[in-house]
This record gives sequence, C-alpha cells and structure tokens, in this order.
Amino acid sequence: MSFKIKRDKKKNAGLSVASAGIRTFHNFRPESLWVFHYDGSGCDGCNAEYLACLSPAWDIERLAVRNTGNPAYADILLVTGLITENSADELLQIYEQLPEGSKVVSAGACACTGGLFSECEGIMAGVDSLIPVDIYAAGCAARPEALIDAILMAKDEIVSETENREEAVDDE
Amino acid sequence: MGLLKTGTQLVKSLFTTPNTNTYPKGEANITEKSRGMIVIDEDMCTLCGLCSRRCPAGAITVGRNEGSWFIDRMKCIACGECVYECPENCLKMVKEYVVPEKSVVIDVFSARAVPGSDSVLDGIEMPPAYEDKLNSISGSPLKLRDVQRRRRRNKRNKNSKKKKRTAHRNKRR
Amino acid sequence: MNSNMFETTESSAVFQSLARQKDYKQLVYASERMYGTGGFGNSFAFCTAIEGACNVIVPMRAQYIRTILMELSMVQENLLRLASIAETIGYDRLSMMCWTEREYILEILEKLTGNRMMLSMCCPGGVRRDLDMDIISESIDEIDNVILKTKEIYEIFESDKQIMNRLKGLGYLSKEEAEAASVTGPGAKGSGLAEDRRTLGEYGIYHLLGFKPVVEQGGDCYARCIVKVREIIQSAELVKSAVNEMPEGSICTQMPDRIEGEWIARIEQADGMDTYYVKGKGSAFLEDAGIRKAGESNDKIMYRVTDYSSEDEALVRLTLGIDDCLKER
Repeated sequence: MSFKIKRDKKKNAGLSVASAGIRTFHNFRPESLWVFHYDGSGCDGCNAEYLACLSPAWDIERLAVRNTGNPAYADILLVTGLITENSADELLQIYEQLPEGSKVVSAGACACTGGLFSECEGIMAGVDSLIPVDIYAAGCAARPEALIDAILMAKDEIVSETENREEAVDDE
Repeated sequence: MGLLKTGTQLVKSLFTTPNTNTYPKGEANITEKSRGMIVIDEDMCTLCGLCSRRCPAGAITVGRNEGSWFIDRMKCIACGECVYECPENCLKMVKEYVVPEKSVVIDVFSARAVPGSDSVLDGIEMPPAYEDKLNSISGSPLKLRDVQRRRRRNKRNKNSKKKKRTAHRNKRR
Repeated sequence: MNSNMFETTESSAVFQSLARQKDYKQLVYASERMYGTGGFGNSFAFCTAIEGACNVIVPMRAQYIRTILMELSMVQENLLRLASIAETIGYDRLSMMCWTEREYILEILEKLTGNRMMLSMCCPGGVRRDLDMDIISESIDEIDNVILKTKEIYEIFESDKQIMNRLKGLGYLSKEEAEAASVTGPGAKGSGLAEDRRTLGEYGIYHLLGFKPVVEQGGDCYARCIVKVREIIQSAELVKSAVNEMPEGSICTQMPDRIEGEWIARIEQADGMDTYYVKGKGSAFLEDAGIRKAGESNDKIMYRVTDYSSEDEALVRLTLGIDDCLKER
C-alpha cells in the first residue's frame, strides 16, 4: 500500500487552540451544518447532482446547510464518486482535518461499495474501506432527494449528540 | 437600460412562484416511470439465478440452498437489466428510491421461512462474497434486512394512520 | 499491485478492464457510466459500434427515440457547462439561470425514461423502453420555455460588456491550428470549422432533420460560449422536429449472441467527438474495446491556447470541454 492509514485522530489534535476554537464554534451552531464536498474520480454524475442541490432548483441552503471549502470547519464530509488508489491519500488527509464529531456521508453506488467498477484495478471498493462512514445514500446517480435525506439524517445525529454532551456537562 | 432590465426581472419575480423544490416539506419529485429500487415477488421466483448473472454491478446474490434472494441496495445501479431478463417476470422496478441508511443494507427475500420464527433471517447465512467486507477496517457493519417483516409492519402502519401529504409543489411559471 | 495502477484508472483502461469482466450487453451500462452528464451519448456510441460490427439495422422508431434523448441530454450538458463558465467569470445569477433551466430538462428526462442522468435506455439493436407520446407532447411546452429562457441567456452573453471584456481574446485558437490538431466540439466550431459528426449521417436521423452545425468565427472563449448557447437552442429545436415526425413501429431488433467483427463509432457530444472501438471474435465478450473521449483529445491543444500559469486556464479548459472524468486524480 502506498498510503498509511492514520485513524488516530487525537494525534492530530495538536493544533489545540485552533481546534478548540472550532469545536466551541461548532457547539454554538448545532443545527446549522457546513458540508465539505469531496468528489473522487468517476463519472461526475453524483457530483452534478450535489451541485444541483446547491442551485435554485433544490437549494439546500433553505435547510440551514452550507457548502464550505475548508474541511476544518465542516460538520459533514460528503464523498461522491469513485475512490481510486490515487485519491485515497487526499481523502485521508481531508478526513484527518475534520473536527471531532463530524459525520461522513457517502453518496452514490460508487462511493458506497464501488458499484459497477468495484472489480476494476486500482479502485477502492467504497469509501468505507478507507474511513468509517456514518451514512450511506444509494442510487446511481444519487437523487437530490436522497442527498437531502442523507444530510438531514446526519444533522439529526449531530444535534442529538450535541444535546447529550450538553446534558452530561450539566450533570457534572 | 440595464436598470430597466433588472427592474422588470424584480417585478416578475414578485409575482411568480419560486423554482425551488420544497422536498423535505413537500413531496419527492418522483414520476410514474422513476426507477427507484428492485423488489421481487419471492413466491413466483424459481431461483434460476439469471438475474445475478446478468446484473452488471453484481448486486444480486441468489442463495439456492436456503431459498433466498439477496440484493445489495448500495451496489444496485437501478439499470433494470434484471427486470428485463427475468424469465418468470417476478422482478419489478418500483418508483420509491432507496432511503439513506446507516450501514450497507442487504435486503433478503425468502419464500421459505423457518417454521416457528418471525424473521426469515434465522436460517440464513451471509453470502460468501460479503464475508471479507465484514472485517473491513472501518468496521461499518453490513446489515441483512428482512423485507417481508418490514412490509408487514408498513401495512399495519398504513392502516392505523394515513400519512398527510402536502400538495405537490405548485406548477412553476 | 503493480506500479502502473494510477494509469489504469483512466477511462479507456477502465473500460478495457470492464470488457474483460462483462459481456457486451452489460457493457452498455458501463459505457453509460464512463461519463455521467453525457451518459446517454456514450451508451449510444457504444451501441452504434456493436451494431456496426454485427451488421444490424436499427428500427426507425428506435433511431428517433435515440436522437430525441441524445439531443435532450446535449441540452442539459451544455447548460451545465455554461453554468460553470458563468460561475467562473463571477456571474452567479447567470449561472443560476442555467441551473434552473437544466432542472426542467432533467425532469422531462425522468418522466420519459425513469432516471435523471443515467437513462439506461440504449441497448444493442434499439432501445429498452418506448417513449410515452402523451408525456412527450406535454413536455414540448416545457422545452419551448427552456428555449425562451435560453434566448434570454443568449441576449445577456451578446449584450454584456463585462462578459466580453473577460472572454474575448482569451485562449485564441486559429482555424488552421484547430484543423491541424483535429480539435472537435465547441473548440472547432468556435474557430470557424464546420466540423460536426451529426452532418455525416453515420448515426441517428440528423440527415432527415436537415441539420446544420453552428459556426462562429471568433476563435476565442467568447465564441465558444456563443456556440454552446446556440447549440442549446438548436438541440431543443431538433427535439421538437423529431417528435413531430416520429413513426410507429418496433423499437428493438434481435441481436446475435456472439459478436464477430470490429467497428469504430464516432458521436458528437456537447464537448466534442467521442470515439468507441469494439472488436469481437465470436464470443459474447469483446476481444478489444476502447474509448477516446473528446476531453482527452482536446487536451493536447491546451499548451497552445494558454500558458499554464495563467489564472484563466480553468476558463479555457471549461470552454474547450476538458474535464477530469475518470482521470487518475
């Protein structure tokens, strides 16, 4: 393997001040989610569907979801497309930069399991062979409805987790 | 001139409905012909295995010994080849799309339920193709799902309370 | 794992490795997924190649259905490309207009075929499902609306001085250079070359519809954008005239189980000419298969039209129709 899998997130929390700041920032806005979108290789169909979600036709910003360009501020990492051996490194780097408590959504057949291309050379069979995935959205290409469903599902999880954490702090 | 154009556009926008689909509130934009997911009439199926051989993505597994039919919902590309090839016409493409799940879901249909148990999953083993996936590093679990039980539960729910559905989004323009 | 694995993920190599695993009927779905937004064109090209190798004649109604779906997917792809160009030059409103119109076309496609992008309609010998004539006649109104809106977009491109300042003279490609490098698609048409595969009558029913390619003389990014806008209107008009003349009849012919012979099919997509090569030796599995996508062949002209350090490289790339689909990435 040409890449190393670093799943130990705590090691990378060395940028303590910045990450603490980001975490506090997160706690203030549990219901407004920022999505970082990563499109691997592949046919671009799911990519175009997510872009259609940002366009006026579906407009996910009405659901308090925003697209962001920096994984350090993202609550959700949305992965679409095929993950090849080459893009694996990139995806791992992005995953390491995610703040704690953020969710990973894989959308489309290629990102979930590799789909039609799962037996080809140099292609990872799904995102979950690299990083843990929280929510799988099926479809080829994943419909905007399925993408919205997946993002809202992740949002529900994040909100309930934040509430639990707050309750735990109150008990102390 | 440009100001005039902007003005006309503004006035137009005031009197027309927005172009946005109101999905989670309104209805999903599904048509009669939409290719959502494959379902099987398991009583008619003869377990010939043609669908699993013809599937371009390899999403279908036929367990001949247990008399069960597996479909990997996350691998299926909804092309409809299996529906086209099925000699018994027991496969059907329904318009409802697969809702997102927390794990890779494999739906199990079985005509031969083990007597005395509620679930068809009791006598069924994971198809060998998925076994190494169970030990993948992420630990994302695979889930076998008993579709018949879910179908029964849905029927009960439907009878008890009918879902209120908001009107389909307004005809735009 | 070998050291060359990164090269194997490029589209042709991926297609070849798929051809080793799947027979030619399954490979149609694979070819469709070689390029998402222009998926139907790819499956059309692959099916044309298979039919050519087997000497099968496709029924007339199937040809009409294929042409209608092809032109509809050309409209949505061109709108997608215009949207990304508009966003790159900072015209968000224009970009949003394109996205909105594209959504109408996708809705029509879903009503007709069942999916928004992966239509899965083409099969060797014809089409899988028939089109519902009622739905088509309903959607003609929608297509008319799209044409009206596209004319608005055209007006903006023609009248706005900012757009002209930004795009005119950028990425200039002369007619001779374009001809020598065999550039296809908007790159060629924007430089004054009337090069279009649809005029040759190799596939579809374009020769019956009186098709004439769109040509602009500018040779720069602006001319290529105008070509795209005019092609949208042209494709939508082609759909309308094809619907009017649609004959009755069967939609699919019987195909042989084994492929014998070889063929090259070339098809005009929104970004240029896509080439599919198939070769069979008496088996359901192809002995050899290959793709050359328009983006890959247009890529070699990039060093002439831009120095890679420039900020406008992305813009030139977009107008020439070069993308990173199934590239190593």
